[in-house]
Amino acid sequence: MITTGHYIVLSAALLLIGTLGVLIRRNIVVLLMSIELILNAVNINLVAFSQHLQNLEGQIFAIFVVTVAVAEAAVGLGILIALFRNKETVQADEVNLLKW
Amino acid sequence: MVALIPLLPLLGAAIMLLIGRYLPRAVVNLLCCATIAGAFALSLAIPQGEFVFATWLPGIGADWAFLIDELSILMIRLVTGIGLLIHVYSIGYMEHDSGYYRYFGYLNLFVFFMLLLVMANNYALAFAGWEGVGLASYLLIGFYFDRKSAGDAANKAFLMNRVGDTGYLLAMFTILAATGTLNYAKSAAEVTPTWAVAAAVLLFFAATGKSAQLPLFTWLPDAMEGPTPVSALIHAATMVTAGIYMIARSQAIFSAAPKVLGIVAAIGAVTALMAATIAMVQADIKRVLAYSTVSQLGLMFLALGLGAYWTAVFHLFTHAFFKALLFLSAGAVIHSLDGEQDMRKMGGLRKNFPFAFATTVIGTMAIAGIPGLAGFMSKDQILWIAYQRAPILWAFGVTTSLLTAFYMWRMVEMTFLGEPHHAEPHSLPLTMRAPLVILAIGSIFAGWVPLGTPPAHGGSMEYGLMAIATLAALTGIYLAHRDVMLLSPFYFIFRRRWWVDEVLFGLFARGFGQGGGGMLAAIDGGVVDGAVEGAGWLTKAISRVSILWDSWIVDGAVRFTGTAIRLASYPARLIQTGSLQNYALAILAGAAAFLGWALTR
Repeated sequence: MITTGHYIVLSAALLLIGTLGVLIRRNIVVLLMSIELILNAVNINLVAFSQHLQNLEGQIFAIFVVTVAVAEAAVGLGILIALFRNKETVQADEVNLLKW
Repeated sequence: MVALIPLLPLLGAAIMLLIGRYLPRAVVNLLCCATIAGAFALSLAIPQGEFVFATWLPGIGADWAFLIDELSILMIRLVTGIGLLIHVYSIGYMEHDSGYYRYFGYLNLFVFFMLLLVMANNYALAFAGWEGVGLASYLLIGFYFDRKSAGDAANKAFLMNRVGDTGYLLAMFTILAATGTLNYAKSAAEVTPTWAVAAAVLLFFAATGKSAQLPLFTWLPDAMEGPTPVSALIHAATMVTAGIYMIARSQAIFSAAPKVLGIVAAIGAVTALMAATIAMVQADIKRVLAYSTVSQLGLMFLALGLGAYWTAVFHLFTHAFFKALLFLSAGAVIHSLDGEQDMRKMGGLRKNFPFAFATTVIGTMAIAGIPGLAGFMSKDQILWIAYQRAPILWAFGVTTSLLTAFYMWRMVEMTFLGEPHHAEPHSLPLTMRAPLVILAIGSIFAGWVPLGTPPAHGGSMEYGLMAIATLAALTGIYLAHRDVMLLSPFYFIFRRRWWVDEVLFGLFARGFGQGGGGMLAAIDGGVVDGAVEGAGWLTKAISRVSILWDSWIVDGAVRFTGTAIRLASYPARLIQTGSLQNYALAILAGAAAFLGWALTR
């Protein structure tokens, strides 16, 4: 029997993996993938609690999050391509012009 | 009802110029002729007297007011009557022109202003009409505005009239300063020789512009660029006679200045002769008639200068008929030859065009002074008076008569007689034939209309002079018929039009223009530039001080503030690494701290 607690653990694990990915990995494509992991961790949480509380709002909200995530990925990848055209790199630490 | 006479043409003009383009041709024709016909019909029943409608400039007699007396009634009937004939004629003449509504609108506008000019009871309102006819004349000379020559001619006419108008304005100021009123009757009652001389000279100068006398006559021949009916109405029968009317109207002032009258007579005589000689060598049929108009106007001024105001007006009256007839006949010829105006390319039209031949010959006989016709009656009066006062002026007049007969018959010979150069001309519509017939009748009989008081008759002496004048006219016709080159050694002078244009250009355009330009340059360089440069130097000196203040005190304060903030902010700026993941870590740390704080609270 898979309880709500299992889902929360899974969600926490995904959130942790995603966060570490954002902080550690240098490749921006991987960064974007990690951000997707974080978002989906939240989605799992929402759906799990929706099930737990017998309330549909959580699931509806998850759909919204998916939609926004799609838009965010499109914008993010667009920026990435523009960046690559200008700087010939997808390494996050090589893009550090915006400072003092 | 009196006010309706000028208002009808104004209404016609307003309709034409505002919505004329949307009206069908038949409506335009009917409406414009109807307004003039209405004005003419009203003028037949016009009462005499002074009619004040409204005050314009209070206290100086410049009102919206009409003075209807014998002289203005004659002018009103002349303007509306001839105007009506020419409107009717224009229906046929303009039938192929797409700008007909504009044309009729301007023509109505002209009639309105001309009526204003001859009906006004004061100099100011008459001046409004005076300027208005100049405007209408300008618009109509430049009617074919796609031709550069038409635009130039319109400008020339307008500018030369402006020169004359300066005289009118100054005359108005003189009269106003001397008598305190611009009303004709009131100012005439207070006339004194001292100011009358100045006013008369200035008024006469105005008249030389409007009525095309020396030295300002050169615009009139150029004005022939307009449509031919316009030349007939404005530049022969009515507008150019405004100067005659105005002097006849101001006769009290002129009579008080006999020396000025002498100048008027002399200028008139010289202009009459000079224009006649120029007319002898013209090749353009309309230009012959234009110089002939200048010459006939000269005769009118000659009569005015002799103090015979009604005789001048009488000649004005008869001249309106035969000159309009001649112009409209010429227009018929031009119209039927598709716009050809060069007489050298015409000839032999008598066979194909007996109608225009007949009207032209009647007009020619009338202007040449064949006894019994209109021109003879009025010219004879002028010559008779001239002989009594100053025989030299009579000699000028008779010589002019001879030359007039000569160049007019030369025109007839070149146009209608000789070998035909052209194929069958088009036939004329009824609208063009009818006015010609009426004007031809007028040219024959207008001389018998009793006007004013004719000079006392002088028995056998007068008949002798008549015989001499008639003989001169017949001689002129005979010489033209025999193809004699009268005065041919002087043709080079006549061809260059006595260099009047050149002298005017040299004197005013070049002399005043460039000489004045030199003087203006000196004033400009010395006074104006000096002042400007002085002001510039002062400004520069003041600005030096201002610069010091600005760069040390104002800028110093600003720079100090900037530098201080920059130094103080240095530690804070070190946080900005530009690295994405540093920021992400900071966000995480912040989120964790917030979470820790929120959970432990």
